[in-house]
Amino acid sequence: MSDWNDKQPIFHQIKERIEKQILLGIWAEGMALPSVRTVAADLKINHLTVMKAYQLLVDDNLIEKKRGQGMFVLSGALEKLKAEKKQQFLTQDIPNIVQMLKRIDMPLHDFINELEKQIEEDK
Amino acid sequence: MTVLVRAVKVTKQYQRAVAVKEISFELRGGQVLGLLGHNGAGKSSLISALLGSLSYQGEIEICGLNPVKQRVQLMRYLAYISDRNVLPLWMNVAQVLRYSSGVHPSFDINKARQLLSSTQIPLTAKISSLSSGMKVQLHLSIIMATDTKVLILDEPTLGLDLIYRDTFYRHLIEWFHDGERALIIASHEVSEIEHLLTDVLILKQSEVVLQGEMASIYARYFIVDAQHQHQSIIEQMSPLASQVGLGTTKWLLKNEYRAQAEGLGDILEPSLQDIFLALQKEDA
Repeated sequence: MSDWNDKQPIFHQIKERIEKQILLGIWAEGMALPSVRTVAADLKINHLTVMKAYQLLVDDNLIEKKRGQGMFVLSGALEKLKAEKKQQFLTQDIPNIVQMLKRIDMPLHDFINELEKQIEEDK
Repeated sequence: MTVLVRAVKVTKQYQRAVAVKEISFELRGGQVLGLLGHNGAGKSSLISALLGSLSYQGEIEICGLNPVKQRVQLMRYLAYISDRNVLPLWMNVAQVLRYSSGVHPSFDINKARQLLSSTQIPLTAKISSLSSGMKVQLHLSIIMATDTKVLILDEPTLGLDLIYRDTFYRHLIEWFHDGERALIIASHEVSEIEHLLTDVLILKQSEVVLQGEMASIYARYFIVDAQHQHQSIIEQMSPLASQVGLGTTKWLLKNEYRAQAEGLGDILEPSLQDIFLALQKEDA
């Protein structure tokens, strides 16, 4: 049903899911996130876990709590997440790519050609 | 949050055997306690003691009341659902609701009707004609229409199909979230209830083998998914369990070995099921 992985605690996975959904535009800035009660009932998890995930997002200044109304995506959240993901790409994903190129003996220009080709196809 | 359940050194001694040995715990509003253990570990005896249907040594207080001596008052706030149907089979749904409003001081019949209107259960149906999933759903709806503060569930979804399980837990979570209540769930389906729990109490041969908040329990263990070549190093860390996979083995270890195990493989989060099974196997 709910496909949790065993790499991280669930509240962390919920936080990452919401971040991804903000990046995808599912939750636009200014929009309300579903209530803790709804998320807990939908995912069949404890409401404290949902609250913990929301609190992490509040701490990261991505969402805010409006008294009596629930959680809302802050304006600027999208830019902030993009910057974060970019940083993550530079510091985590690119080193992985470097390792992969080494492992499969792929010259850099082959990789760049392939990258350009796929970017072109994606347009 | 007020303490709703307090158990201090609860012991049940039969003539020849001990069913429950010195169990203590406290539950406040908002807490969900998972009561785990194999058959015969003492879960049922502990539940019977909490319900006041079994004499015991030690102390139990639920909503400040003694389950044996103040049973009548307590039943206003304490409810129990097991895998066995207790609703009278010869009544129809409307009659059960009228009966409940007659015997239960806080039962709100309109609320019960409203809860049932979101289910497939018609008021005219005879209890005997309902499926086991519907019976459990009806029972839960009746409880949700009372002023229940402490709900004890004993294998509540045994024999229910997946759709009923889903609806059951959805209603349960929504109801639980709307008030200051405590839940105790005894179940063999560890993975089904794991993420609902705030606390867990694992019994083995009448005694507690693990007890605490879920977060602290997870923090006591970790899994390392390591290549076979590291086997002898990891075996020195007294692993609680291991599972051989393709090219690697997953080892369940105590947290004190985390620094040593890092670098030997991927570090993973254990599930409650992993911990539960390991503790049942471990020779204590």
